[in-house]
Amino acid sequence: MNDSIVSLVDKYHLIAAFAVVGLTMYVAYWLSRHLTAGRLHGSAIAIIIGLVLAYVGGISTGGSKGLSDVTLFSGLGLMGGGMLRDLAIIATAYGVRFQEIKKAGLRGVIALFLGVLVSFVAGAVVAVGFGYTDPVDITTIAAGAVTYIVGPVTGATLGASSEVIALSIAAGLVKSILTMIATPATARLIGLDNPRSAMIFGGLIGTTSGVAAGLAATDARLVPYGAMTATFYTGWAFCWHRRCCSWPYARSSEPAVAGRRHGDAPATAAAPGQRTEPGLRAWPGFPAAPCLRGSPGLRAGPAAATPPRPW
Amino acid sequence: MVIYGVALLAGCMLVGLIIGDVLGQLLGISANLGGVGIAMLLLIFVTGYLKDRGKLPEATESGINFWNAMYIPIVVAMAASQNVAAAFSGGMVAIVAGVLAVALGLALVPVLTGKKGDDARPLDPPASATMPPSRATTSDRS
Repeated sequence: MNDSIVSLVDKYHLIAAFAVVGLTMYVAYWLSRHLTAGRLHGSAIAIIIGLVLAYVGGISTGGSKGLSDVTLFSGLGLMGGGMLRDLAIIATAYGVRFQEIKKAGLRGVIALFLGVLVSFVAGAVVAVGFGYTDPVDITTIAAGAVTYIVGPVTGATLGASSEVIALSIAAGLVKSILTMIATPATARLIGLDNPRSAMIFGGLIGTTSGVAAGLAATDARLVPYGAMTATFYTGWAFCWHRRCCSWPYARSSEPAVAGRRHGDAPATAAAPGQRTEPGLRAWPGFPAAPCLRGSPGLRAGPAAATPPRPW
Repeated sequence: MVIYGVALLAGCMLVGLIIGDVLGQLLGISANLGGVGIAMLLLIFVTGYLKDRGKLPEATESGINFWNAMYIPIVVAMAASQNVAAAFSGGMVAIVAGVLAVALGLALVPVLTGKKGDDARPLDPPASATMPPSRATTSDRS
């Protein structure tokens, strides 16, 4: 009997996820109304419950996808995965006036640049403070503090040890999860109540999941503005990572390969399962130039310095 | 028809992601550069265009609004599938680095926002104390 229920729920995992999330939200909104008298937003409570369940799921299964690693709740992975999340984020833009976005546009772009820089420096300072001296380790941890997507790619490119790469992923995860909780708590303090500050917030924090959940827990009407800048963050962080990856080499006068701790060629340094970018092959010699110049040419050879435009 | 709205949303998403991918390739990075943000802008322009010409009937709108309303539940599911255990097992370096990055980011929001002029007016206060109007109906339904 039990087995058949489990297999049924497993088969209809997405439907089960709808039911589980619906129930979670009902409990969260009930708690919000009765326990906090509406002071703590129902969606904030729902997200915190979700994070607690994810912790429990991660501890009990040892997997990397929180509660969705538990067979009964595997549909949560699909429902909360990148595809449906991005679809819902785009749908929140419906009804937004373009004027609002245009007005905050320049500040949003500044926030984007500053956000990656500040997170990177913060990560680097902490790494140095904890006694890391190898530029490879420092860069990898710093890149993790930018976002947990960029951290491991940077680490793999530089040939950082797997402990340091794990550390850099953890730093990014802490950032993302803390954003979900700290945003509603500090929203009033930092003036996060209008489209302009929401766009700046999205650019400064940048981790899409953190921003998406943090703004949902604060005021869902701010989501499109914050998400708009945050979705450019990871791409820009990858640009930054191209620059910062050349940093350990730029500092030493030795040939680039001799500077590598693990002695592998960059193309093979990526851990199995990691993405290797085609452009990374040319990495050690990559000049610390803005990614807007140079990089496509590096990939395609000097002859194709100006990339063909598809339009 | 409702599916027109959903298809419009899906179309904007796909076109945005393709543009983001091309942008990423032009810059030599393997990431999608702002595809979702581009898709959002596309949706704003396309629906604005259709609405001005009266070609966005209520049924079509509801196809977009459904996914808009599903946003918070999807975010809750996303929170439940985060790798929280790994974040906590990373050790002090990871925690301090993450906390410092968030703290600095949040602290810079008011600095960059600057003085609140007319263009940084707070959104109208929600109808109920806890929920903005559009979401209040959603939560009641869920």
